[in-house]
Amino acid sequence: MRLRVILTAAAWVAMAVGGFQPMYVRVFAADSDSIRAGYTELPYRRIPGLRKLLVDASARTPAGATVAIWVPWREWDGGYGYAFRRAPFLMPDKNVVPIEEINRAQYVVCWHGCPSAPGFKSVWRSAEGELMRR
Amino acid sequence: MIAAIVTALLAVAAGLPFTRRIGEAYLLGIGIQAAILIVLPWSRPFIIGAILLECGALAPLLLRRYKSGGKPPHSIIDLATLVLIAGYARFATMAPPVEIDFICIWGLKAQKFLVVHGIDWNFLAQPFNAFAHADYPILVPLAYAFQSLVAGEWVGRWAGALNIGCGIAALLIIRSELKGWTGALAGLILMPLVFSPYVGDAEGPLIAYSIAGVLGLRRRESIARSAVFLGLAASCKNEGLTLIAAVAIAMLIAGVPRLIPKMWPAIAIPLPWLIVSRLHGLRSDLAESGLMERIVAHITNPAPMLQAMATYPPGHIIFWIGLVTALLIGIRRVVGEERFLASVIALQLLAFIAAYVITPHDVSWHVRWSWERLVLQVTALVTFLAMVVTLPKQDLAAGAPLY
Repeated sequence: MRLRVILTAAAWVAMAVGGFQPMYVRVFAADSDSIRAGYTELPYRRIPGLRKLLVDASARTPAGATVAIWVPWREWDGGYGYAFRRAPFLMPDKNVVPIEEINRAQYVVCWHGCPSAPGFKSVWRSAEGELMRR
Repeated sequence: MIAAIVTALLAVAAGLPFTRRIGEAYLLGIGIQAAILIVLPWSRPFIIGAILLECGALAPLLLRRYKSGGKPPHSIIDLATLVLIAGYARFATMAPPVEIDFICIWGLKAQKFLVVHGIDWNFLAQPFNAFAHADYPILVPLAYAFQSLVAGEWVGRWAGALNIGCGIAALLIIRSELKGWTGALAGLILMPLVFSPYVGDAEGPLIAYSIAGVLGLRRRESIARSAVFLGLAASCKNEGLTLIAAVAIAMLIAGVPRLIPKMWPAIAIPLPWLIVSRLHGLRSDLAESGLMERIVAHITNPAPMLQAMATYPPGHIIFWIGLVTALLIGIRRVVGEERFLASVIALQLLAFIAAYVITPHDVSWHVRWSWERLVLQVTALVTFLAMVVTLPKQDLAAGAPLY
């Protein structure tokens, strides 16, 4: 009986120690401003400037516009999917389409500048990229 | 909505413990909010009016004294739990959720639904938006949309409030199952397991609804009310659907098949979405063609799946050593009076593995990015099981008999 009590106590201690999340204590001493800034960029970190580009471009296009996304990678798993999957969240009132659907697009947002696209002209440019309109 | 309000009123009649009543009222409230958005116009005055009505319907849950007539359970240990909850609340709301599933699925759908003031079928139907898992249930996106409608702007970093609320609700329900300082200690240990670190994802609400549903059924208390929570779990994620099946099979194992028909709300709540989404042509990626070939391939060569599970284990090894030790100590109760709960957990784990067996994706990739999250969905339940089978029976809350 005594062995059972000791083993039970040890098991509970192991579950407590193994399940403990020190972050929930450390967070009280964390600099919330720097963490907020870092976390805001974190989901887009592999394409620096992508988040700002999409937010800025979204502010310069009308609600309901169809927007194609261009980045210098065409493979879905090689970089294009990374950018495309994140774009609708940052442009929720736009109809975001992949570059293959450019014929449907009224706008094209390009990370770090656009290639030549017949029928489109540049309407805005920044350090992060460019916006073109049909 | 009517079913949820009726259930809330039934909960009043059931004379639940105070902590459980608060936890269940919150979880029901989230479900009712989603129902409101399905049946009412998405305008702020309508929504605020609906909230007032909802509060009126649920107020008796909060105001009526709990049946034992004493104070809610409390202990000095609860202060430590409160500190951790405060830390989690800060962690969860410090910045907008960074989880990719929030950005590509849960938060994204909420934003798209907000724009069109309803379900954006056009967005869901586009083949290039398949990454958003159009077939997934929509309770969680609707919860974010509801928050945003009330706030008058996109929730942003306050999306984490849903995780906080669900974590508190789940912990209150667990707390009502155990008495005294051991109950408080169990709450402290279980806190990191019910407050999902995947802020913004559907895991937090799913864990809470699973706990509310399964623990209610464990003591055979108000089958219909528990089934409502299972239905809401299935409205969070597809794993909630397998949980309903697991519960039904566990009832057979526990020798109470007569209770299965009483579980009808668990099916009735997610059924409309299942029908409507299929009518719109939305399908799970797991159901892609070539199912039999994938099953044969993964069963005849399970090494990649098992290697990935070993490479990306969920949680710390010391935790699992403690858990297994506790389960072994109480093995007689695990296979005896707690066989219902043990069966639910085991069957749900099997369902997770079955998803890997039929996955159309690279199985190593699939396991790497989901195994830990999936296991977390039942970790609180299995830890609760490990605790109750090692505790003296007088430390467990009195109630209906176990199996």
